[in-house]
Amino acid sequence: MKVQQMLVLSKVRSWTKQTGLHVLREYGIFVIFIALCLAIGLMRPVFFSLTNIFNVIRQVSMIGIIGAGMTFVILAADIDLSVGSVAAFCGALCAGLMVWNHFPVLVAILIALLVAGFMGWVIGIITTKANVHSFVVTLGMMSVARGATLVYTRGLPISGTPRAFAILGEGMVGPVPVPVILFICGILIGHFVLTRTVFGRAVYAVGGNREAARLSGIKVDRIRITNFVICSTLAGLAGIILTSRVRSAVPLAAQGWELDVIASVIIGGTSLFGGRGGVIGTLIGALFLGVLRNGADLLGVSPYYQQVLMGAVVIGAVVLDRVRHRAVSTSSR
Amino acid sequence: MKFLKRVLLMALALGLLSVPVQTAWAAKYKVGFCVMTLAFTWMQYSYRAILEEAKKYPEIELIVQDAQMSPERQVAICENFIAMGVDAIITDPLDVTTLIPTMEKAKEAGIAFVTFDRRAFGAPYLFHVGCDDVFGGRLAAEYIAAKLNGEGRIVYISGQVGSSPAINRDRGFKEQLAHYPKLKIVYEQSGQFLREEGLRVMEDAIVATGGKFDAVFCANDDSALGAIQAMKAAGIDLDKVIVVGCDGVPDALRAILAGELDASIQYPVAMASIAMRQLAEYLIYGKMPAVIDYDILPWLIVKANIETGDFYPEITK
Repeated sequence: MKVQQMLVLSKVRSWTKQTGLHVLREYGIFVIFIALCLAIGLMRPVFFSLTNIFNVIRQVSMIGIIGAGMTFVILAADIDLSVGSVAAFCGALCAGLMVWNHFPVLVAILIALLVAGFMGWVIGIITTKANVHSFVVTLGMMSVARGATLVYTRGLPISGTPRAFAILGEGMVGPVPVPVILFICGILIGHFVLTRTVFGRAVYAVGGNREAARLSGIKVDRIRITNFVICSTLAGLAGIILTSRVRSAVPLAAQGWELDVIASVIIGGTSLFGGRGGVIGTLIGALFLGVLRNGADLLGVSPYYQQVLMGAVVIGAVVLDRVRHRAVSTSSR
Repeated sequence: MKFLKRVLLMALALGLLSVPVQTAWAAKYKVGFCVMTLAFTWMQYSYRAILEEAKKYPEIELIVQDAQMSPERQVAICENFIAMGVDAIITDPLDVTTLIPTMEKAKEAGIAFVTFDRRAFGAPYLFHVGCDDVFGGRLAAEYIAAKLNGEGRIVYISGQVGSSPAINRDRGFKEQLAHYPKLKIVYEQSGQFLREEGLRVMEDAIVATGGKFDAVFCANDDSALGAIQAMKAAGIDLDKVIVVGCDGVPDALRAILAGELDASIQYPVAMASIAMRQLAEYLIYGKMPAVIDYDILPWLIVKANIETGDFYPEITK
């Protein structure tokens, strides 16, 4: 298996070098990302100011944190559509525990994270044990969690969170915002787990070929459930950060996040069919979307066009991914 | 998913309806009330206002359904109401055209159709109670002009793209601003009526303008509250910037008292209760309202007249 993979890789490398496309092919999205940054920076030099750079990273940090978890789920050929709703619910729960029940900040955060993890566990159990596709299960959970948020908040914002809670969303360590640190930590830990641990290898194996993974003794169900728990917990964390940032929990918060998160993962080169990709790609994917949106804001692009732009970029990234994928499969024949 | 959504909503609706149900024996008239969504602060309060108002009339039995921001669902709910043989339907049309065929069907069936807040164009309706949003936009422009002596730089965070309040507030604001050639909009972007978007867009606005602006106008309070958060984080002195929002929701009144928000344009909740009262009087006493298209004028809330805010009792509780 390994020898074969190496053979394929070397063949692809030589083919792309011959065609001179190898830079774009190997590091496609990264090259486009740098070009995008340069283009925006040329038109609006303020783009490269330290404030703006940290603004962008802070703006994408919540999507990026969930993206790290979503990468695990997608690598194992599953999907999680419930992350936005789970984020909203956990943000609201955390705020409610602090404002209504006067729980200490850390206890409230911990409970909210545990509930998030539990929601992921429920998704995992139903997906694996009842053998229902995760698309359906998480679509349901998306609705359940959003409805639960409405019930819990009674449809109104929860405001008046304690001052200490603001550190999570607005605090700084030196010049670096706290959400950015959490985001980078999430990516680094995710990268370490995926590349250096037995669990990480198993995630790739499950996504590559579920049956083969099962036959080689990998506990497929356990891996998939763990992925959902990781993803939901990180979604909960992102929801708590959002609540801290806007100093209140809003029932409509984090709506549509699932699409931004999945787009980041896909733009980052992780295959929707599982088995290929990684969290470093997701980091680039999330930054890419953030820079695109920030650039559009700085250039004063109308919100109508912004949506068109976003959609076009996601399609473009998937097409690029397909071209790369095809290059691998044709040269292996 | 739809099933789960329905079950949850039914549980919610049943819980909220438990009071009217007790008096249902006395009810002579069934009224179907299709809420646009329960997730916007303002909608939540107008919904409660209608329930309160309906309670005053034991002859009225209210049946509530939530369209969850979906025009198609709103059509389906209203069609179900017609099939159930209700006497009247009261709703808040999500967009200006989708409900037209349903409203025509209701008319054929002899069902009174009443709209409040947003309207549907070109369809038969009994009467409409709304708010003059263009006037609201003008009020905001006048306030900023007075505060800045007709000269300054404005950051404008507009509303949810394509919604009628956003369009009308935008029109009123810009038309009035045209009277002051030295007042300039230096940055404009949509905050989508959301806190997180208001925050994000304001962060970008601060970078794009280099922090050089004198006033911020947001098409609703939620985006204004997000923008305030962004300015605080960037170390901008809120005393030197005029910030104006719209709707007058409880959190905005709190921000006005805290000196962070300078003013908000009240979007009157009264339009919901007035619509319900007029409908009840029409059904019970056969009394038609004097004005078919009744537009309530919004007003400006600042610290000095904070008690005129519809939600002032909410924040003093």
